[in-house]
Amino acid sequence: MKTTGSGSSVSLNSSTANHLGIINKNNDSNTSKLLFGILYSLKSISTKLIDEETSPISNALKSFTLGKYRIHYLESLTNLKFILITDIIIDNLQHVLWELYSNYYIKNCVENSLSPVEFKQSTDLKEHELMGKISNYNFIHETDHFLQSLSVFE
Amino acid sequence: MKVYSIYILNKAGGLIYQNDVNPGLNRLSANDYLVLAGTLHGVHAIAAKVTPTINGKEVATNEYPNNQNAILLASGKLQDSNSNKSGLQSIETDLFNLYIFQTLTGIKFILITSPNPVVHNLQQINREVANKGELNKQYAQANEIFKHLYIIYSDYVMKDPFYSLDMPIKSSLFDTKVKEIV
Repeated sequence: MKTTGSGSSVSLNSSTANHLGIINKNNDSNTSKLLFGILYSLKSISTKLIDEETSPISNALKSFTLGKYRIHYLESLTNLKFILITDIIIDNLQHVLWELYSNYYIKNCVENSLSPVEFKQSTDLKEHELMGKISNYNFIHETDHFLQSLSVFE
Repeated sequence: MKVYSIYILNKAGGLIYQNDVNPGLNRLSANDYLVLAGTLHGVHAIAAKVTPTINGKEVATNEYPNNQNAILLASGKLQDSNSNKSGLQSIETDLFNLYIFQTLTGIKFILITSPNPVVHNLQQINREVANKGELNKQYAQANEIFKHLYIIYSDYVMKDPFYSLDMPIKSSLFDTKVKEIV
Protein backbone atom coordinates (compact mmCIF):
# COMPACT_ATOMS: atom_id res chain seq x y z
CA MET A 1 0.00 0.00 0.00
CA LYS A 2 1.28 3.44 -0.82
CA THR A 3 0.27 6.84 0.36
CA THR A 4 1.67 9.71 -1.61
CA GLY A 5 1.69 13.30 -0.47
CA SER A 6 2.15 16.47 -2.46
CA GLY A 7 5.76 17.24 -1.54
CA SER A 8 7.79 14.29 -0.44
CA SER A 9 6.19 10.91 -0.32
CA VAL A 10 5.70 8.41 2.41
CA SER A 11 4.98 4.86 1.49
CA LEU A 12 3.85 2.12 3.74
CA ASN A 13 4.34 -1.50 3.10
CA SER A 14 2.73 -3.87 5.53
CA SER A 15 3.95 -7.19 4.32
CA THR A 16 2.31 -10.41 5.32
CA ALA A 17 3.90 -12.62 7.94
CA ASN A 18 7.42 -13.41 6.80
CA HIS A 19 9.13 -15.96 8.91
CA LEU A 20 12.89 -15.97 9.15
CA GLY A 21 14.51 -17.13 5.96
CA ILE A 22 11.31 -17.45 3.97
CA ILE A 23 11.05 -15.28 0.90
CA ASN A 24 7.74 -13.50 0.47
CA LYS A 25 6.61 -15.34 -2.65
CA ASN A 26 3.38 -13.38 -2.75
CA ASN A 27 5.19 -10.36 -3.96
CA ASP A 28 6.39 -10.48 -7.54
CA SER A 29 8.09 -7.11 -7.50
CA ASN A 30 11.87 -7.52 -7.51
CA THR A 31 12.41 -4.42 -5.41
CA SER A 32 10.65 -5.93 -2.45
CA LYS A 33 12.73 -9.09 -2.75
CA LEU A 34 15.90 -7.01 -2.73
CA LEU A 35 14.60 -5.05 0.22
CA PHE A 36 13.80 -8.26 2.04
CA GLY A 37 17.33 -9.52 1.39
CA ILE A 38 18.79 -6.31 2.76
CA LEU A 39 16.56 -6.45 5.83
CA TYR A 40 17.42 -10.06 6.50
CA SER A 41 21.18 -9.42 6.32
CA LEU A 42 21.08 -6.27 8.39
CA LYS A 43 18.96 -7.94 11.03
CA SER A 44 21.41 -10.80 11.38
CA ILE A 45 24.29 -8.33 11.64
CA SER A 46 22.55 -6.35 14.38
CA THR A 47 21.91 -9.44 16.47
CA LYS A 48 25.33 -10.97 15.83
CA LEU A 49 27.34 -7.97 16.99
CA ILE A 50 25.69 -7.72 20.40
CA ASP A 51 26.27 -10.26 23.12
CA GLU A 52 22.81 -11.44 24.13
CA GLU A 53 23.83 -12.50 27.62
CA THR A 54 25.28 -9.20 28.76
CA SER A 55 22.95 -6.72 27.04
CA PRO A 56 19.75 -5.78 28.90
CA ILE A 57 17.62 -5.71 25.75
CA SER A 58 17.82 -7.67 22.55
CA ASN A 59 19.15 -5.48 19.79
CA ALA A 60 16.63 -4.56 17.13
CA LEU A 61 17.18 -2.85 13.81
CA LYS A 62 15.55 0.59 13.84
CA SER A 63 16.38 2.19 10.53
CA PHE A 64 18.94 2.39 7.77
CA THR A 65 19.86 4.89 5.12
CA LEU A 66 20.26 4.11 1.43
CA GLY A 67 21.42 7.01 -0.67
CA LYS A 68 18.88 9.77 -0.39
CA TYR A 69 16.24 8.05 1.70
CA ARG A 70 15.83 6.32 5.02
CA ILE A 71 13.98 3.12 5.79
CA HIS A 72 12.31 2.84 9.19
CA TYR A 73 11.69 -0.65 10.37
CA LEU A 74 9.72 -2.36 13.11
CA GLU A 75 9.18 -6.06 13.57
CA SER A 76 6.41 -7.42 15.75
CA LEU A 77 6.70 -10.55 17.87
CA THR A 78 4.86 -12.48 15.17
CA ASN A 79 7.50 -11.49 12.59
CA LEU A 80 5.27 -8.98 10.93
CA LYS A 81 7.42 -6.25 9.43
CA PHE A 82 6.36 -2.64 9.27
CA ILE A 83 8.34 -0.40 6.98
CA LEU A 84 8.16 3.32 6.35
CA ILE A 85 10.31 5.00 3.73
CA THR A 86 11.10 8.66 4.32
CA ASP A 87 13.48 11.46 3.49
CA ILE A 88 16.81 11.39 5.36
CA ILE A 89 15.90 14.40 7.51
CA ILE A 90 13.60 12.23 9.60
CA ASP A 91 15.49 10.58 12.45
CA ASN A 92 13.13 8.27 14.20
CA LEU A 93 9.65 6.95 13.48
CA GLN A 94 9.56 3.99 15.84
CA HIS A 95 6.53 5.33 17.70
CA VAL A 96 4.66 5.83 14.42
CA LEU A 97 5.36 2.25 13.36
CA TRP A 98 4.31 1.02 16.78
CA GLU A 99 1.09 3.03 16.51
CA LEU A 100 0.43 1.51 13.09
CA TYR A 101 0.82 -1.94 14.52
CA SER A 102 -0.83 -1.58 17.92
CA ASN A 103 -3.74 0.64 16.94
CA TYR A 104 -4.46 0.16 13.28
CA TYR A 105 -3.26 -3.31 12.37
CA ILE A 106 -4.53 -5.02 15.52
CA LYS A 107 -7.86 -3.21 15.40
CA ASN A 108 -8.63 -3.61 11.73
CA CYS A 109 -6.92 -6.81 10.67
CA VAL A 110 -6.35 -9.00 13.72
CA GLU A 111 -9.60 -8.30 15.53
CA ASN A 112 -11.54 -8.43 12.30
CA SER A 113 -12.87 -11.95 11.96
CA LEU A 114 -13.56 -11.46 8.25
CA SER A 115 -9.95 -10.58 7.47
CA PRO A 116 -7.93 -13.51 6.08
CA VAL A 117 -5.24 -14.92 8.35
CA GLU A 118 -2.88 -15.64 5.51
CA PHE A 119 -2.71 -13.48 2.45
CA LYS A 120 -2.43 -15.92 -0.38
CA GLN A 121 -2.13 -14.96 -3.99
CA SER A 122 -4.54 -16.78 -6.21
CA THR A 123 -4.42 -16.88 -10.00
CA ASP A 124 -8.16 -16.81 -10.56
CA LEU A 125 -8.77 -13.45 -8.95
CA LYS A 126 -11.21 -10.98 -10.47
CA GLU A 127 -10.23 -7.42 -11.24
CA HIS A 128 -10.91 -5.71 -7.93
CA GLU A 129 -10.01 -8.59 -5.68
CA LEU A 130 -6.79 -8.10 -3.80
CA MET A 131 -6.12 -11.28 -1.90
CA GLY A 132 -2.35 -10.89 -1.77
CA LYS A 133 -2.49 -7.65 0.14
CA ILE A 134 -4.50 -6.20 2.96
CA SER A 135 -7.62 -4.93 1.21
CA ASN A 136 -9.47 -3.89 4.32
CA TYR A 137 -11.02 -0.51 3.56
CA ASN A 138 -10.93 0.71 7.14
CA PHE A 139 -7.30 -0.26 7.62
CA ILE A 140 -6.17 1.44 4.44
CA HIS A 141 -8.09 4.62 5.07
CA GLU A 142 -7.35 4.93 8.75
CA THR A 143 -3.61 4.38 8.27
CA ASP A 144 -3.70 6.80 5.37
CA HIS A 145 -5.41 9.39 7.52
CA PHE A 146 -3.04 8.75 10.43
CA LEU A 147 0.09 9.12 8.29
CA GLN A 148 -1.17 12.28 6.65
CA SER A 149 -2.02 13.78 10.01
CA LEU A 150 1.58 13.46 11.19
CA SER A 151 3.49 16.70 11.47
CA VAL A 152 6.41 15.20 9.57
CA PHE A 153 4.18 14.43 6.60
CA GLU A 154 4.45 17.02 3.84
CA MET B 1 29.71 9.33 20.37
CA LYS B 2 31.87 6.37 21.28
CA VAL B 3 33.57 4.42 18.52
CA TYR B 4 33.33 0.65 19.03
CA SER B 5 35.02 -0.79 15.96
CA ILE B 6 36.68 0.15 12.71
CA TYR B 7 36.77 -2.17 9.70
CA ILE B 8 38.42 -1.65 6.34
CA LEU B 9 37.22 -3.64 3.32
CA ASN B 10 39.08 -3.96 0.04
CA LYS B 11 37.23 -3.43 -3.23
CA ALA B 12 36.25 -7.11 -3.44
CA GLY B 13 34.60 -7.05 -0.03
CA GLY B 14 37.41 -8.79 1.85
CA LEU B 15 38.17 -7.64 5.37
CA ILE B 16 41.70 -6.20 5.41
CA TYR B 17 41.68 -4.39 8.73
CA GLN B 18 39.71 -4.80 11.91
CA ASN B 19 40.18 -2.92 15.15
CA ASP B 20 37.94 -3.01 18.21
CA VAL B 21 38.84 0.36 19.66
CA ASN B 22 36.40 0.32 22.57
CA PRO B 23 34.59 -2.62 24.14
CA GLY B 24 30.85 -2.81 23.57
CA LEU B 25 30.40 -5.30 20.79
CA ASN B 26 30.33 -9.05 20.82
CA ARG B 27 33.63 -10.72 19.97
CA LEU B 28 33.25 -12.91 16.91
CA SER B 29 35.53 -15.51 15.41
CA ALA B 30 37.86 -14.41 12.61
CA ASN B 31 35.69 -16.24 10.12
CA ASP B 32 32.54 -14.48 11.31
CA TYR B 33 34.18 -11.11 10.78
CA LEU B 34 34.95 -12.08 7.19
CA VAL B 35 31.31 -13.14 6.71
CA LEU B 36 30.16 -9.87 8.25
CA ALA B 37 32.36 -7.85 5.91
CA GLY B 38 31.18 -9.81 2.88
CA THR B 39 27.54 -9.37 3.88
CA LEU B 40 27.91 -5.62 4.27
CA HIS B 41 29.67 -5.43 0.92
CA GLY B 42 26.83 -7.36 -0.72
CA VAL B 43 24.08 -5.39 0.98
CA HIS B 44 25.78 -2.17 -0.07
CA ALA B 45 25.76 -3.32 -3.69
CA ILE B 46 22.12 -4.45 -3.54
CA ALA B 47 21.09 -1.22 -1.86
CA ALA B 48 22.46 0.77 -4.79
CA LYS B 49 20.03 -1.13 -7.05
CA VAL B 50 16.99 -0.32 -4.94
CA THR B 51 15.90 3.18 -5.83
CA PRO B 52 12.56 4.59 -4.77
CA THR B 53 10.11 6.03 -7.26
CA ILE B 54 7.92 9.00 -6.50
CA ASN B 55 4.88 9.22 -8.76
CA GLY B 56 6.48 6.74 -11.17
CA LYS B 57 9.69 8.73 -11.57
CA GLU B 58 12.99 7.53 -10.23
CA VAL B 59 14.62 9.73 -7.66
CA ALA B 60 18.03 11.01 -8.75
CA THR B 61 20.80 9.73 -6.50
CA ASN B 62 23.75 11.96 -7.48
CA GLU B 63 25.94 9.07 -8.59
CA TYR B 64 29.54 9.99 -9.27
CA PRO B 65 30.20 10.45 -12.99
CA ASN B 66 32.57 7.99 -14.64
CA ASN B 67 35.06 10.70 -15.44
CA GLN B 68 35.33 11.72 -11.79
CA ASN B 69 39.09 11.30 -11.77
CA ALA B 70 39.48 13.50 -14.84
CA ILE B 71 37.32 16.16 -13.22
CA LEU B 72 39.41 15.98 -10.06
CA LEU B 73 42.68 16.33 -11.95
CA ALA B 74 41.42 19.09 -14.25
CA SER B 75 39.89 21.23 -11.52
CA GLY B 76 42.49 20.50 -8.88
CA LYS B 77 39.82 21.27 -6.29
CA LEU B 78 39.15 19.40 -3.11
CA GLN B 79 35.98 17.35 -3.41
CA ASP B 80 34.03 15.10 -1.12
CA SER B 81 36.14 11.94 -0.88
CA ASN B 82 33.13 9.82 -0.05
CA SER B 83 31.91 8.11 -3.22
CA ASN B 84 29.15 6.32 -1.35
CA LYS B 85 26.18 8.16 -2.84
CA SER B 86 23.51 5.59 -3.59
CA GLY B 87 24.51 2.56 -1.55
CA LEU B 88 23.99 1.76 2.10
CA GLN B 89 25.06 4.76 4.19
CA SER B 90 24.22 3.89 7.76
CA ILE B 91 22.35 1.47 9.97
CA GLU B 92 20.74 2.42 13.26
CA THR B 93 19.88 -0.19 15.86
CA ASP B 94 19.01 -0.01 19.55
CA LEU B 95 22.58 -0.59 20.70
CA PHE B 96 24.88 0.60 17.94
CA ASN B 97 25.09 2.67 14.77
CA LEU B 98 27.10 1.63 11.73
CA TYR B 99 28.43 3.97 9.05
CA ILE B 100 29.94 3.18 5.66
CA PHE B 101 32.38 5.36 3.75
CA GLN B 102 33.59 4.41 0.29
CA THR B 103 36.60 5.87 -1.48
CA LEU B 104 36.77 6.43 -5.24
CA THR B 105 38.87 3.29 -5.55
CA GLY B 106 36.18 1.18 -3.89
CA ILE B 107 37.76 0.69 -0.48
CA LYS B 108 35.17 0.78 2.29
CA PHE B 109 35.75 2.13 5.76
CA ILE B 110 33.18 0.92 8.27
CA LEU B 111 32.65 2.54 11.64
CA ILE B 112 30.54 1.09 14.43
CA THR B 113 29.63 3.59 17.14
CA SER B 114 27.33 3.96 20.10
CA PRO B 115 23.72 4.79 19.12
CA ASN B 116 22.58 8.38 18.70
CA PRO B 117 20.26 9.92 21.32
CA VAL B 118 16.66 9.18 20.38
CA VAL B 119 14.56 12.17 19.38
CA HIS B 120 11.12 11.29 18.15
CA ASN B 121 10.07 13.35 15.15
CA LEU B 122 6.86 14.63 16.64
CA GLN B 123 7.16 18.26 15.70
CA GLN B 124 7.06 19.86 12.29
CA ILE B 125 10.22 19.28 10.30
CA ASN B 126 12.02 22.54 9.80
CA ARG B 127 14.04 22.27 6.59
CA GLU B 128 16.53 24.96 7.65
CA VAL B 129 17.62 23.17 10.79
CA ALA B 130 16.64 19.71 9.56
CA ASN B 131 20.21 18.63 8.95
CA LYS B 132 20.96 19.22 12.61
CA GLY B 133 18.94 16.26 13.88
CA GLU B 134 20.73 13.94 16.31
CA LEU B 135 21.27 11.31 13.65
CA ASN B 136 22.64 13.71 11.09
CA LYS B 137 24.84 15.29 13.73
CA GLN B 138 26.38 11.93 14.48
CA TYR B 139 26.66 11.21 10.76
CA ALA B 140 28.72 14.39 10.38
CA GLN B 141 30.95 13.31 13.28
CA ALA B 142 31.44 9.90 11.72
CA ASN B 143 32.37 11.53 8.42
CA GLU B 144 34.97 13.59 10.20
CA ILE B 145 36.53 10.41 11.59
CA PHE B 146 36.40 8.81 8.13
CA LYS B 147 38.28 11.75 6.66
CA HIS B 148 41.08 11.36 9.21
CA LEU B 149 41.09 7.59 8.76
CA TYR B 150 41.46 7.98 5.00
CA ILE B 151 44.38 10.34 5.51
CA ILE B 152 46.26 8.01 7.84
CA TYR B 153 45.41 5.07 5.58
CA SER B 154 47.02 6.90 2.68
CA ASP B 155 50.01 7.92 4.78
CA TYR B 156 50.76 4.77 6.75
CA VAL B 157 49.38 1.96 4.59
CA MET B 158 49.61 3.06 0.98
CA LYS B 159 53.05 4.59 1.45
CA ASP B 160 54.36 1.49 3.21
CA PRO B 161 56.72 -0.18 0.69
CA PHE B 162 56.15 -3.59 2.26
CA TYR B 163 52.37 -3.45 1.96
CA SER B 164 50.82 -5.43 -0.87
CA LEU B 165 47.50 -4.20 -2.24
CA ASP B 166 44.24 -5.77 -1.04
CA MET B 167 46.05 -7.77 1.63
CA PRO B 168 45.43 -7.54 5.38
CA ILE B 169 46.98 -4.49 7.02
CA LYS B 170 49.47 -5.50 9.69
CA SER B 171 51.13 -2.25 10.56
CA SER B 172 51.58 -1.33 14.21
CA LEU B 173 52.20 2.29 13.23
CA PHE B 174 48.81 2.42 11.53
CA ASP B 175 47.27 0.80 14.62
CA THR B 176 48.61 3.49 16.93
CA LYS B 177 47.50 6.27 14.57
CA VAL B 178 43.99 4.80 14.45
CA LYS B 179 43.92 4.75 18.25
CA GLU B 180 44.98 8.40 18.27
CA ILE B 181 42.10 9.67 16.17
CA VAL B 182 39.26 7.97 18.02
